[in-house]
Amino acid sequence: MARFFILLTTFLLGISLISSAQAFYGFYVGKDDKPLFNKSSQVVYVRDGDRNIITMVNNYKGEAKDFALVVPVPTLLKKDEIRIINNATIQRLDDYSAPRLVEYHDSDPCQPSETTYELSITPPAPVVNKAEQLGVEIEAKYTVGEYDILLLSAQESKNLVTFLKSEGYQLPAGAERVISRYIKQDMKFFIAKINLTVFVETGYTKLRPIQIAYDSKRFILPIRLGTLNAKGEQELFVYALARKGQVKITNYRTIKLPTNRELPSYIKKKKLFGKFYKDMFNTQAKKYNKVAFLEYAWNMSHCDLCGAKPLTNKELKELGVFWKDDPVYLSRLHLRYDKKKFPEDLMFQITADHSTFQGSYALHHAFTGAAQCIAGNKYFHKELPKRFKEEIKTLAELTNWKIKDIRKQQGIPKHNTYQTDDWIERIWD
Amino acid sequence: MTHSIPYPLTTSNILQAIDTRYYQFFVQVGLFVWATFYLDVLMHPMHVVLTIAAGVITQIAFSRYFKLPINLLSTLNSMMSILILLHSSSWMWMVLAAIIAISSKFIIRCGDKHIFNPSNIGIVMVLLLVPETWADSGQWGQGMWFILLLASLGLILLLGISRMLTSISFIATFIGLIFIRAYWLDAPLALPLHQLQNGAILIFAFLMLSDPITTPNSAFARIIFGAWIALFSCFLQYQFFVDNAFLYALAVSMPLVLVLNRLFIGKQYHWPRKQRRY
Repeated sequence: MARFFILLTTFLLGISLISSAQAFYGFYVGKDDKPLFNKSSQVVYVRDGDRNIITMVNNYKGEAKDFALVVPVPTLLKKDEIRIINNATIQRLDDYSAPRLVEYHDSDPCQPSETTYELSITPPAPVVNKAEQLGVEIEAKYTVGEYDILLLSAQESKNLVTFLKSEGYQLPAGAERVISRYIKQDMKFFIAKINLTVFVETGYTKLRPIQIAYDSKRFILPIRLGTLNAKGEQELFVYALARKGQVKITNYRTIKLPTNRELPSYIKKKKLFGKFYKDMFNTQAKKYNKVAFLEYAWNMSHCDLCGAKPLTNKELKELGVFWKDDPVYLSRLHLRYDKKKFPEDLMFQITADHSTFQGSYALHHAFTGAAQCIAGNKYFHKELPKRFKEEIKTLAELTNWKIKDIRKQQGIPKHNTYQTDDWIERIWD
Repeated sequence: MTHSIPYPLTTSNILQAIDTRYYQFFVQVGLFVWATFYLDVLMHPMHVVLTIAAGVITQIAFSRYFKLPINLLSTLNSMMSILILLHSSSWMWMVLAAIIAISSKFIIRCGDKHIFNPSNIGIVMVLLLVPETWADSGQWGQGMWFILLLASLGLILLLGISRMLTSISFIATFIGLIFIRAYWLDAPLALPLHQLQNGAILIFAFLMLSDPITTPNSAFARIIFGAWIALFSCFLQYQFFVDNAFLYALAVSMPLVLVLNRLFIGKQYHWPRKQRRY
């Protein structure tokens, strides 16, 4: 049976196309159970000076034997430069930086005041090594955690492609040209496959993220291989961690996600926040061409209305933050890319920008008590309808949902109009 | 003042008599406003006020000291360039860039002209010396290349093709290099087109490289100089992975103008207002 090829978005060589949409599964908002973005991948990029520590999260759901990850890297990595980290830490980083809901409850107007991945295990197919014959240099071979790692260098992309094909990988169309481009730029290839024997022993049901570390002046994410996936657009989340400040993309514009908006409260009740985030992102991604979105930017030492607690020093260290005492700035970038929208690999720079940003959406729960007073009449008959109208309009604009449908879902709470004969009370109405 | 009216009254004579610096100022203010309100590039209003104030005060102080007439138009243009290209987490470094930019005009001179492009040297020195500053070449995106091209054509009309040869030669060489690179990489056409549409490159080419005072006197030398800057920028960017390479390439290459001016004789440019005084 043919082996498939996964290219984690960033570096990841596009994915083997046979396995259809199963190849990438993804990202979750908050604690919702359903995957929001298909074909998504996450990369944590720690950069300081020329040091690069990159963690690639394999949002892969499929047969373990079919998994392979191909990443262009600027240097040949040694065994101790590759390691496996825990999924839980990535989930923490995601929870901490994800767009969040902030809830408020109106007071009585009368009294002012993850993702889970299950992999089915089948025995590994025998590997036939034809590398040497083909002029492909297997520079190193390691087993790290549940992965078998190969580091390849080649003079000719044709040979590398032939080698990979002979290994049973189904390469997407155009792979040779793209591989050739990276070879010309003096990149090596990092290939990870699952060592099934080890994987079974670990007892994990889900692949763990692979982390690589190397010295290089290049501050880039080679996404070209990922764009080979013919199945349209892919989602990429980059969590960049730096000592000095925000990390910015230098060859594409970055837009801030719409934030600090007030939404109808039924979003929470009907557990629609995940859908809201997804549809809002869809609307934004359609509106702008060739842009990345900033979803979070903050110094990790504190946060305002956090979705989750900032990461501990231990967790940061696991992600590759090797400095102590100095601040850690997190920039969370989200982009949806394909061949056309992103013709060039992502290039970054660390800046001293300390401005903060988060995707934050407020819900005001209406007061539901009797509120039998003149102020209660005003609240239920004037203030609430006006506020709801605005919230509905905001939601419709952000998500492209139909106003009619939103209005249907967001009913105004019932209120018995307060009647009074007291003329003194009425004059203030 | 009668002698300042161009004669004969042809379109090209009228255009050449207009001080291009008004146009540059207008374009740069437009870009700044566009960046602020449309691209959401927010700069603290205090940074804007203090940068302009620092530039103006430095200009006045040096003009007084050297007993020169005070001319603020160039100063304002330099300050706008700094505000468009430089970012800092503190107002102090913006002010420092402004002071370096203007001081360089009075202190680093050869013969009767200054050597460095004021805003370029101000920005580059601060970027090199102060970690708290950055230039954001991604902020302009790819969406505004057409507007920038139109603005550049306006500048060519006003200054004349000959004086704009540095910019034109830079862009032509840059296009050549990125297309050759794309061909070598066997990359689709979308790659060089994407690189070319980067607003930061166009702003640099047409607003910074168009300075007729600090670019070479001879037209031929301007072509060489523009091509050299493009070559050097690409070398820095693709060989050494330097961000904002074009800014550094220009700063480092300014002494080359002195050599080119020796080798190729040409007429030194003066702004129209200065001409009128003679």
